[in-house]
Amino acid sequence: MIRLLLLALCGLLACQQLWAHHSTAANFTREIIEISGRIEQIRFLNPHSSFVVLTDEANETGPYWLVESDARSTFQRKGLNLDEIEQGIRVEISGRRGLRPNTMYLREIRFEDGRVFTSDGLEE
Amino acid sequence: MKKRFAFTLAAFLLLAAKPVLAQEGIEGIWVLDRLVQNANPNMTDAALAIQSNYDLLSDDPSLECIPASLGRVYANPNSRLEISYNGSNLQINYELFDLRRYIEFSDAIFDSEEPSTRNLTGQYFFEMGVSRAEWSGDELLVHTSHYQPGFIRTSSGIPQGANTTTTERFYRDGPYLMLDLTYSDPELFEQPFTIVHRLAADEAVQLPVYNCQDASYDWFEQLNNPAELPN
Repeated sequence: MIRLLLLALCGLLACQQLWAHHSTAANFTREIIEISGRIEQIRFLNPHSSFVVLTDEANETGPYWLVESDARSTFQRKGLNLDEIEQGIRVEISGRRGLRPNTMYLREIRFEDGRVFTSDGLEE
Repeated sequence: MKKRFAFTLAAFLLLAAKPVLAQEGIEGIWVLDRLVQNANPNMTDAALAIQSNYDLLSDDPSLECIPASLGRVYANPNSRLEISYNGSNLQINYELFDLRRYIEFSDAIFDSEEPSTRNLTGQYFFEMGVSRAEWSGDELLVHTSHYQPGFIRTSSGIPQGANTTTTERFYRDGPYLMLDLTYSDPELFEQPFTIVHRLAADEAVQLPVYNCQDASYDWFEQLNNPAELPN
């Protein structure tokens, strides 16, 4: 019985998360993709915070990828500040492929030193 | 015996607290807690034609930091709104796009046809219409018309027309502020439909400045496809 209740609760929370990202659902597919490259810019802005990643460092003119995430105000409500993340370092990023070319919605950023960043913060 | 007394006391306190909370007003800073009932209109052929031509990658007014509609603003997750009432005038400030909505308790407002909503730079938004308010007991009603066409849902292209009207009904449900937003427009919808929002009190003491920037993707497309320099 308790398991059933827990399952129902998890289902309810999952639905709420899907609703919370309704606009995201429209602009990004469910396909999970991965890219690797160098963080060139961190744009801590409303309505969308984002990371600009240069995926082919040998070719300094791109292609660039735009990795979108929560709004600045949403991060701030969680007590997070993206400006504290270093730029110019290599990362691997996974997320949902965008409908626009070279765009994705952040799931996680993995740094070379093992740290992982998600929209809930940095895990050391 | 002690357990039974503690249980009875707890039940009494909970029941006693509920009317006190229900008497609280609608003023304060609120954030969307749950979309209890989403937009699911029965659209006319005219509305379906507008929807079929809608491309969210290029037609979404949000890409220009413009509110697509009242319904779109209320449905935005994680952005707060502030309601204040000074006895004669109502003001609703929205964190999203730094919107400031000034609402009078008089039909005379409809004569001016000046939009009720502007942003911090003074830009008016006709997509948010012209509004007047009235009290109905403890409930606050806000009636809005004179809309410019927009989109009630930018993800699916549910349209708003020039003849669309809305009524917002604000009321308390325990600690929550409820908002029923009812849309009517015989040209676009077979019958009126209502979107139900549940708002929770937010701990913020004032709304932060939103400062919408680079909502469109032009800057990014330019980054990958830089224009050739003139000779």
